Amino acid sequence: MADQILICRCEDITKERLLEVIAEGYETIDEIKRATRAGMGPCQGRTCRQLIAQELSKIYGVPMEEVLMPTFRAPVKPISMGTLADAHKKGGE
Amino acid sequence: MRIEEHPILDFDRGEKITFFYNGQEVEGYTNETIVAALHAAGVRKLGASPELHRPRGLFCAIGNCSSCFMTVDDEPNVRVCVVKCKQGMRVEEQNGRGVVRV
Amino acid sequence: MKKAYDIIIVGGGIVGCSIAFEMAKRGHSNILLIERGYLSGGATGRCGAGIRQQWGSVLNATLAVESTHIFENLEEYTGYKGNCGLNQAGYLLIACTEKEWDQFQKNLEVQHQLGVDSYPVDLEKDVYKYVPFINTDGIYGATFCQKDGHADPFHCTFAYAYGARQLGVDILTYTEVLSLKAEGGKIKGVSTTKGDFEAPMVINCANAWAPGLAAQVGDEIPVFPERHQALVTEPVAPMGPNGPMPMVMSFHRKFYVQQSPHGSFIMGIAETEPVSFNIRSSWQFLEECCGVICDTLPALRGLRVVRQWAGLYDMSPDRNPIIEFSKNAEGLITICGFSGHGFMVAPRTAILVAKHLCNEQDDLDIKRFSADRYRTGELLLEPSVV
Repeated sequence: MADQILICRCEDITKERLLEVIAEGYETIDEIKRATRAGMGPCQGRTCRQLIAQELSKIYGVPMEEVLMPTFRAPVKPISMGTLADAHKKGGE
Repeated sequence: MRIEEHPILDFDRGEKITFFYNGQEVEGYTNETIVAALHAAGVRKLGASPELHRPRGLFCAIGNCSSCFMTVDDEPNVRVCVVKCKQGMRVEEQNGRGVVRV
Repeated sequence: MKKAYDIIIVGGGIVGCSIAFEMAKRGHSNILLIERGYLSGGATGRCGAGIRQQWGSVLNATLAVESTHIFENLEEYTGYKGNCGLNQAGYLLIACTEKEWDQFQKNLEVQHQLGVDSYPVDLEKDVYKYVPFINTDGIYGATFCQKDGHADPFHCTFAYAYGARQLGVDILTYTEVLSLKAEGGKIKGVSTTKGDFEAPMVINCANAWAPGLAAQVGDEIPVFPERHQALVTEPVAPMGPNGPMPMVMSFHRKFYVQQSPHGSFIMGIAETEPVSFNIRSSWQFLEECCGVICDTLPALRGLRVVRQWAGLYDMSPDRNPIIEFSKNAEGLITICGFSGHGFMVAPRTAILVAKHLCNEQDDLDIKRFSADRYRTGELLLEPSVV
């Protein structure tokens, strides 16, 4: 059943895979992200971060507030390179 | 199927237009998102995920999750749940990674 | 976790983990590796993870060529069951001035001496075979080497750590080394947020933080931190002639950009930065990086940036690593100063260190990396670096 439940929809990481890497010794969202790519897709963890945190909270018996969050970085929504490149040209004028 | 009567909201759908979905003509309105028009036309599968090739459709429907990626007018990775449809637009199912036309 | 070991390694990046593995492979596995965050959480995990053999000095080319051979087999070498993600899509280095092009010719000679299959690329006829949509305006010449590419810096670090653990090395993460303990001119161990550990040898590979630790026993390591930023885009289908787009790099225009096997593009530029431990992101970087790169590769304009981050280069005066055997606290070895190309030379550097510590013969002379070279003037000079 766990192999049918999706945690990271962008990178197709199932709950089964998540539990596998936790069993291998990866304990934090940062480590799980780098070991599986969960959170590295187009939505950058907006969907899966909390789901992974929930699993860690259950497994390690810590409240959600104490699960270590990965660093939040810009941009909050994806921006095209062209938009940024044009802004750079404008700024130079 | 669209909601025609609602106790509170008035839908200002704009003008009726047609666009293309996988080569077939679909009806839409200028103030609707692409996926709203597709949904009304009965389309649920918008593409497939890159690794497991799962059929994908709407998930968050608010431009947050990237589940609804389609290729629109040759532009890949378009979030059709937040982009409005236009006359003559070419909307294609995106299976996995979109292709950038150079 | 014991209280006493033969060796303590400070820093769980590619340098620390590869040294732990190379020592354990030689029968010395009574080692404790201490990392203050997660493995690869420092510079290793923030770098562009490029691997190139196209260097200008014999030393760097040697380190890179031999390291590339190890990257080509890293899973088997360490027994790691994951995928280290080596992608040899090639590096297209572009020269934007006549002077740069002259330097490239000299570099090619050095590379060919070591058997590197690098060659010039005709800008009119052939460059499109490598990067079909490059804008050649202002480009003087280009060289290419197919074996250059990049790997997954996390999995490479995890691979070395896995191999080390299998051989008996202990690894402690989320533990910070607060101070070194020395007595009577000898290193005794370290004091950490999880208690004290003893060892007669401490290998300090803490990147930009290494000089601060070494200074505690009076060692002066002339390495300073410099922020470098990077960004990644959403994934798209491969844009190269036969797979992901090769790395395109310019020293003059100060950028590098490459497509990963996953489909996303990773890129960065060199900016003017003050000496600082700052690894926060700036919006100016996003604009400048996209501006510079879209000039040379306008086809990338439609790609959306999904994340930017920053990390530190540990900069040495000649932009080459320092391996310093402490004269103030015998047993302390400080290894840092890779100045932005540590990842791609780490495997061979780890072997250099391990061979030396195990009294094995090595063609490379570890003494050349001592910080003494700044006093004697025998700098390790490298003409081609971003």
